[in-house]
Amino acid sequence: MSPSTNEAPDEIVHQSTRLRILAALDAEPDGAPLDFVRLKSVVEATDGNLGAHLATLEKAGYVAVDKQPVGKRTRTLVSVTAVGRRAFLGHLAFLKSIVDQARIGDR
Amino acid sequence: MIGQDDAVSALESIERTRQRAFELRGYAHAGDIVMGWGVVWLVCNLITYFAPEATFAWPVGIPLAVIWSIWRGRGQGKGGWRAPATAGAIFALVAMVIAITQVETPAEANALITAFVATGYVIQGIWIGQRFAWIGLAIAACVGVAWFIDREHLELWLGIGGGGALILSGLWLKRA
Repeated sequence: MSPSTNEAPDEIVHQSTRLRILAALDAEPDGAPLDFVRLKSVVEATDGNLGAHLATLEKAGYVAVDKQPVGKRTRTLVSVTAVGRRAFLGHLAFLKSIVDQARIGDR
Repeated sequence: MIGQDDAVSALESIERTRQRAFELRGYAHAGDIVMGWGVVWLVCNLITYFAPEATFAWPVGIPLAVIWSIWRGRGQGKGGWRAPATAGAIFALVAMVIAITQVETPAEANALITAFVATGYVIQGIWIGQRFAWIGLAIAACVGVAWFIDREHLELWLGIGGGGALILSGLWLKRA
């Protein structure tokens, strides 16, 4: 997927924890889902913090959250949606364009 | 409005997160393989210690561990043929070192091979993730103690110490 550069920052994506969540999910090969516990380790967030930001991303349609019963416990799998990946890559291109413009301006 | 510093900081955060995701995925995947080698190291060394005449242990154990590693490693990474080729090159190196240095006793070969394994983990630790380096250092410590301090119980040190370290490390990696 070749991302188009966003014209303006995506405020949902730009928040630091949500940015790390999307970066972690985007890093999974073939868009494979990440277990909640692993995702928590990767983004270095607490349970509550991660849950709150996942809810925001899910509401925006950027991630899909799948809760699977495993015995008496529930396993939560999180994956990035096509919309979420597009938003993340678009924001990434936007950030790079800011850095590139600043470098051009410095010359 | 996002300034240049904010953008640079966000890009660095993304890169760090990607590297961490890669590292933790590698740990979790390697856990089963490390535990498999730990079981082989434990069982084969104990057999060698308690029943030295049972020479079949290592010729059976090593191929089993290799098959386990290949089976668990299938579909992982983009190296394709490079992973088994690397393993083959290392095996050839170990065999040549044993032949050139004229290792005479099974104990010498055991200590030497275990030292190679420890070095392999340390190198992985340098390149992939520091947990592997800690595993390597733990195994190296077992080899050092066994060879230089308590050679009489070499197989016990390498089996319980080295094999145990691998099994515990595998569990540690899986929990990453």
